[in-house]
Amino acid sequence: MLLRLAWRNLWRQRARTLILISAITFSYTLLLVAMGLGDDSHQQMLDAGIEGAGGSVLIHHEGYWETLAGDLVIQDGLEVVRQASEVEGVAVANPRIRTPSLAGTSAGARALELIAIDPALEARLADPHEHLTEGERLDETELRNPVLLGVGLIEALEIEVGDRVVLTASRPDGELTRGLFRVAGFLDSGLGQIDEGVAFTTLDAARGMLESPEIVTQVGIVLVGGALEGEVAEALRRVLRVSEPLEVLTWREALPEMVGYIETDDAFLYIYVAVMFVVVAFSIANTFLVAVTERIREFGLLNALGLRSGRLGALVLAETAVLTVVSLAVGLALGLLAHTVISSYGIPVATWGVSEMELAGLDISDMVIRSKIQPMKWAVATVAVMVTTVGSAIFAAVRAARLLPAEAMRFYE
Amino acid sequence: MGLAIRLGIRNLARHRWRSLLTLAGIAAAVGLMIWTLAFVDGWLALMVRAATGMETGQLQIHTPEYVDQPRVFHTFTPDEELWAAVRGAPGVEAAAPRVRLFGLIGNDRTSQVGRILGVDPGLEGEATRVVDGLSEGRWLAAEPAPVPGPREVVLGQGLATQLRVGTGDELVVFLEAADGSLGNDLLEVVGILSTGNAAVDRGTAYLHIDDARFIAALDGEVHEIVLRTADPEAAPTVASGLDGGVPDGLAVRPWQELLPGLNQILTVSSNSYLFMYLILYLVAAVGILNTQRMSAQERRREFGVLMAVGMAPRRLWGVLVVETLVLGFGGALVGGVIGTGIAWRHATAGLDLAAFTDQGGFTYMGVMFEGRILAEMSVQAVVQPMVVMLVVALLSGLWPAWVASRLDPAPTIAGRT
Repeated sequence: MLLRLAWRNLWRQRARTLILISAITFSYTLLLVAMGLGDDSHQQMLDAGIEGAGGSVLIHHEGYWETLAGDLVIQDGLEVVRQASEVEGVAVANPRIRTPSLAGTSAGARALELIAIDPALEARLADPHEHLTEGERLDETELRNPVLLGVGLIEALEIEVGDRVVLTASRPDGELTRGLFRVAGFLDSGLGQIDEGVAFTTLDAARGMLESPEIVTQVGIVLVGGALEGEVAEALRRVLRVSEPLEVLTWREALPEMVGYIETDDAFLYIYVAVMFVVVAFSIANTFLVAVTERIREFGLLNALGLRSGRLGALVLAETAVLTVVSLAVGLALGLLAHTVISSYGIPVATWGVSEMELAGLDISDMVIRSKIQPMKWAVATVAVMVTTVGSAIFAAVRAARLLPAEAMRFYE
Repeated sequence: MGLAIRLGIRNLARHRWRSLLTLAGIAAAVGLMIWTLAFVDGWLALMVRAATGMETGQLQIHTPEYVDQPRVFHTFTPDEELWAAVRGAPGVEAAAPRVRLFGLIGNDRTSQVGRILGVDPGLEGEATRVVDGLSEGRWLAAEPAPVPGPREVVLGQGLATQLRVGTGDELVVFLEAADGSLGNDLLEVVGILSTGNAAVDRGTAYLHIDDARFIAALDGEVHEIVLRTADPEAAPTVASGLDGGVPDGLAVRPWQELLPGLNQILTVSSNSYLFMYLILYLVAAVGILNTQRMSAQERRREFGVLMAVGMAPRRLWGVLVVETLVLGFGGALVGGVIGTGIAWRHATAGLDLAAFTDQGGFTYMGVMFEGRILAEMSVQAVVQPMVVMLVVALLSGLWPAWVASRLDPAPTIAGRT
């Protein structure tokens, strides 16, 4: 009965109710859209970060990730790969050799990072060959010691596919070493870091140059769907047994700056949303305060007819609750609609005039933001909005409950 | 007008709770807006400062070939005439020569790819604030260390960590010289830099320009001249002013061109507050509108009587609009005080990012945001949100006032509406 009464009361003041509904709906829809956009862009950043870092969980020689030092390699690399592959939750244990190097031709020299990969395994995370614009894949070329370079180096080094490039790097023991490589192809990723700063080669070629047959700099773990990186990292720390000290990092630990940015970005969103709902809450509180004063005789009558004062307060709260539920239902529908539209079309960040961003040392270019729903987050937000809006009518409800029937009925406008 | 204000204030006071709640809503919106403007200003200033002030400078001069393709042999030799023209240009406060090289820096354990800047220690300190970023040791000496001693180098913090060296340690540099040979030499770390500019901190080594020239087989040449202007915003104007005075078609580029990505982000970010206005103030406006509408409706008999005793509809309209304005003004004032208070606190003591993330900070657009971010107070940041709120309040009061002023007195008084 309370709800029916509440519903009827609300529509007796149509304009007022509609204004309130539109305010709550607007704020709530905005919150949902902002969360959708934020979570999607953050996810894209994280994906880029995880790809750049090399996996969801990373295994290195202790101290490597902070220093990226060429001498901090896992000597017993193949054994680590073997042990890691057997851990539950690990889909792929992907070995890489990474070392700073100087690429030289007769035309010039360029400093870059040499990354030696297993092309088949690498494709499970992010295949660099996706960006291949010219030449052949590392696993298809006939060339000895093949190397893939970014298109940004074509002019600087005056090279073509098939040309020779000399790479200079430190061996793990600190001695400088040089290797003769041949350009298998060029990569055009649109990212300066890859197009100008990286050379990909095969593990065999790199091991040959560094004269260390079993070394690995990094083992990047790709997880089985649904596996949690924290648990897998724990398991790896327990299981891995080799004679040298290792570090096992989750992407959260490996990308502290990116996680920091995302958490800060989220925090600001919540601050703004909180203030926005404070403003909305004041407006709701106000409206119900007026509504109670206005209907003081009605309440007095109901009270005299036997509706106990507690029930009167409950009636006011029921009205807010109905109002809130209607608003949230409309808001949710609009939010989902916006989510669908944004997801299917996408918002290119370039339309805001931003073509390239740098975040945590990682270039992100031509990002197209779509929308992503994290059901738990949406649920929590919805409950928070509900509590705020219904809560803001408590004051008015208490007032209604405290009315004395005789006095209330005596009240003249 | 005096009567209208008196009436308005009296009406508001009669419904103390209602007025206070509306006022609080307005105040919250204005307060947050003031804080937002101050914080965004501080944020953007930090970005410009860290990005341009530490390393890029406000303007740079290169050969067109170097702009096209930064190679070690695309150099020029500035003469006295050029220096005079550059230093005398209006808006230019300092100018410094640089040699810019890439190479491997390392020791017997490890090596890293690094960017090597050969600078004139004194002039560099005038053109940029890099010396302020010293976290350990000292800046390069004015004169290069005597041969055959190791040459002095100041390393970015990140590079030092990666190489696992500190002041006093020795390093070897290995790079491509202008004549195509491979230059190498022994270095001694004399200082470590923590500037907040990621490019400097992560991968730059500063050498005395004469040392850098020696290693790279350059003779009195430079790759770039870096300039400091009084006002970073004025850099493009200074650049076009300089264009004529610089010989040989040298390219003069402001930081907005040198760091296009940063410039884009700054433009977008500095306009982002418009969204905030739109959203927060729209919600606040709905609150005002609703309250004023209800309050006018409630008092329609009173209005009817007023009109019956001769108050012109225009006058009644005025009373109601003034009432909304008083409410808006009060809210703006309270919000102004609160917002300014919080913004002031964050402008002096700073806002600790650790409150938002246990990671302590992040880098964005090559700038490290760590620890405390200082907001920047300005008259505009305080006044603008208050003035805009007054306009918003005025607009949202128009409709209820208009409806009230069109009452038909007789049926209204009789309660037949």
